[in-house]
Parts: sequence; structure tokens; C-alpha cells
Amino acid sequence: MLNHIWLSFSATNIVFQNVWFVAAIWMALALIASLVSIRTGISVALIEIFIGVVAGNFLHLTASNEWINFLALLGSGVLTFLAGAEIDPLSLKANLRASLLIGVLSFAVPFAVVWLFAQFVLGWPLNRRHRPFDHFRGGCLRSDDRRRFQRHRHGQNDSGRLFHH
Amino acid sequence: MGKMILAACFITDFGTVLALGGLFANYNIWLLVFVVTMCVVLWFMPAWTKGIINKFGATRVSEPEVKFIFFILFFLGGLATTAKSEAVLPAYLIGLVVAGVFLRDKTLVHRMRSIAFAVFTPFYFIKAGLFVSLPALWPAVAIVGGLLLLKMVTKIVGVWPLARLHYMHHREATYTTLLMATGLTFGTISALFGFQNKIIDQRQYTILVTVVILSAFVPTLFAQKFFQPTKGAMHAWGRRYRQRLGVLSVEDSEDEPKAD
Repeated sequence: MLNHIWLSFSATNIVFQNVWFVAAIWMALALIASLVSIRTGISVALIEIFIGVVAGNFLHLTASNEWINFLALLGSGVLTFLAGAEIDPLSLKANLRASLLIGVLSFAVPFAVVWLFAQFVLGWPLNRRHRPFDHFRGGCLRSDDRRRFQRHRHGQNDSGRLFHH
Repeated sequence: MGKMILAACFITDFGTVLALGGLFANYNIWLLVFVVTMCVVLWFMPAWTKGIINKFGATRVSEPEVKFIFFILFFLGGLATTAKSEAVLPAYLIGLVVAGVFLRDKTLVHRMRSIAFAVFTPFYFIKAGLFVSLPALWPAVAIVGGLLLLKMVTKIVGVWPLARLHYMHHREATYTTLLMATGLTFGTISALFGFQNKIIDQRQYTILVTVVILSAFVPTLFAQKFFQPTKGAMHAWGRRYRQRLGVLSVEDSEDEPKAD
């Protein structure tokens, strides 16, 4: 019995430690996404996210390998590049007034309102380390930052939570 | 009209990458180096790309033009992340400046698309889905609904009156508003940026990505099912828009037979 469990454990280990097998699993998921997308007519990106949700929650797949993160990083970069390259400069110029006005407000109104909603209604404060324009606030630590700093100096746990749950 | 919506989406997405690249960056010497280098590269990029295509275009096997674009993307991505900005900002702008070259050389854009959609983007989108935690989603359904509603309402407030102001009828204005309310790529890029830089936690990431998915799916479905304008109506808007602004375009003469 124990032997059997050990064998199956090592088989899983062999699969997940072999870069080819891991790549094969990810490509199989991508292939399934393509086929589902072709059958349903839903965008492949959306299906890939769904498959990621299923794989993450039910198959416990993780993006633990450095090379997966690297490929994903290239994915977001090249995708953005292609999105920029899709714009026909001539049609942008021809419809500049309408596109500019609609585009700017389509970004600015949701951005401002959702920011306020997230910060003041949901209570999602901006992260201390990544607060926008932090560098403009000068070198002085705020009083709560000072308290955190002193707690760390005295080896205490940081009980101040960055986010409300 | 489709081209106008695409161009407006471009401006909206540009706002997103600018906010992402600008809000969280470290305002130091590296940012200055990044911005100056990026401006210089953006200025020369169309000429360099055109030059490489013309000079080495015949040697298709070694793909020098694809490698050149990847080299520039990686290099500026390196500078951007050193300044704690986002690599998507230079990528988007490079895309824009070479768009003109790409329009003439469709082969290059097809090749880049093949490489991206076969090898890179599946890893990106599947990874974006992996971090969505279903147990964290159920208790937050009300927040997801609230945020989705807020996004829809703010898009309607921001876009619909302007679409009407730009001589669109009710149906076309609603169609434009619904299409402008989608945004899967830049929504997930922003959420993943926040999660990986520990600005948001997994629960917040789950909520945001769910809202992004729903806002990509629901408005498109409504737009295509109930508000899809006819080809004629779209061309008619183009003519109306140019007439009111007093701008004549080559498209006007091309539009006539298509509109019938």
C-alpha cells in the first residue's frame, strides 16, 4: 500500500519536475481553449482565463516555474504591442476629435469614480509601498509609518494590515 | 464608425497604460533615462523598421525584422521595469509608431501574431486565470456586482452623451457605449500588475478579474444581440460626421457603393 502511494507520488514528481511535461500540460490547456473558442465563437483570451480558473481551483496547477512567468510576461508585452500596432494612423487622424473625446472620458470617468469607490466605500487603501506620487511627499515618515518602523526594530510582528478584509 | 470606436479604444487603453506606467513608477534618474530613451527610440523606430524590412526583407528565414522588434521591446521593457514602471507602456507606444509600417507589410504583423498567440499569450491568460480563487469569489459576489454596475454606469455617463454629440443616433450611440465598456486585455494586465507588485491581495485580484471578465462578456453580448447597427448606418454616420466637421475624406467616395 505504502509502496503504491510512494510510486504514484514519484510519478507525479517526475511529471511536474520535467520541463517538457509541464510545457505539454500548459500547451494542452491552450489547445483546449482554442478548440472551445472555435466551437463557441467566444474570444480565445476569455476561454484561456476560464481554463486558468478551472486549472487553478480544481487541478491545483500553479505558475511556479520561472520560465512560465517569463513566457506570460512576453505574452502581455507582445499583446500590448500588437494592440498598439492595430491602430491605423490615418483613421485615428480622420476621427481624431470624436475618438479623443470619447476615449479620454471613457477612461477618466470610470477611473476616477471606481478609484473613489474602491478607496472610500470598499476601504481598499493604496498600498504603503506603492502609494502613487509617494516621492513627492518628502522624506519625513508619517506617524503610523514611524510606529511600524519602531515595531520592526523591536522585533515585533507587524500587526498593521495593509488591506481591510 | 468601427474605425472611430477602435481609435477611441486606443485612447482609453493608452490612458490605462499611462496610469499604470506613471502612477506607480519611481520618479528618479532611471525614469528620466527611460523616458528620454523611449522618446528617441519612438522617433526613429518607423524609419529603422522600414530600413530593416527593405534591406533584409528578402532573407525571410532568419527573420531579422521580428528579432529587431523583440529586441527593442525587451530593451525598453528592461528600462521601464528598472524605473518601477510597466513594460506595457513602451510596448504599446512602439506598436503605435510602427502601425503605419505594419499596415503596408502585413506579413510581419501576421508572423508576430502567430508567435504571440501560439506561444506567449496562452501562458499569460491561463496564468491570469490561475490566481482567481473561487472560494474568495462567493462571499464577494455583491462587490463584483457593485463594481460591474459602477463600471457600466460610468461608461454610459462618459461615452453615451458624447456619442450623441458626435451625431450618432440612439442605437449607434448605445452600441458604441457598450463596446467601449469592454476591456479584457488591459483589465487583466492592470490587475496582474497590482497582484504581482503586492498592491492588491488575491481576494481583490479575484474580484477585479471577475469584473473584467463579466464586463468583457456582457456588454459585447448585448451590443451584438440588440444594438448591432447595419453596415449602411455605420457608413452613414461616417459621412454625417465628416460633413458636419467639414472634413472630406477619400472614404466618402468609397463609401457610396458599400452603403447600398
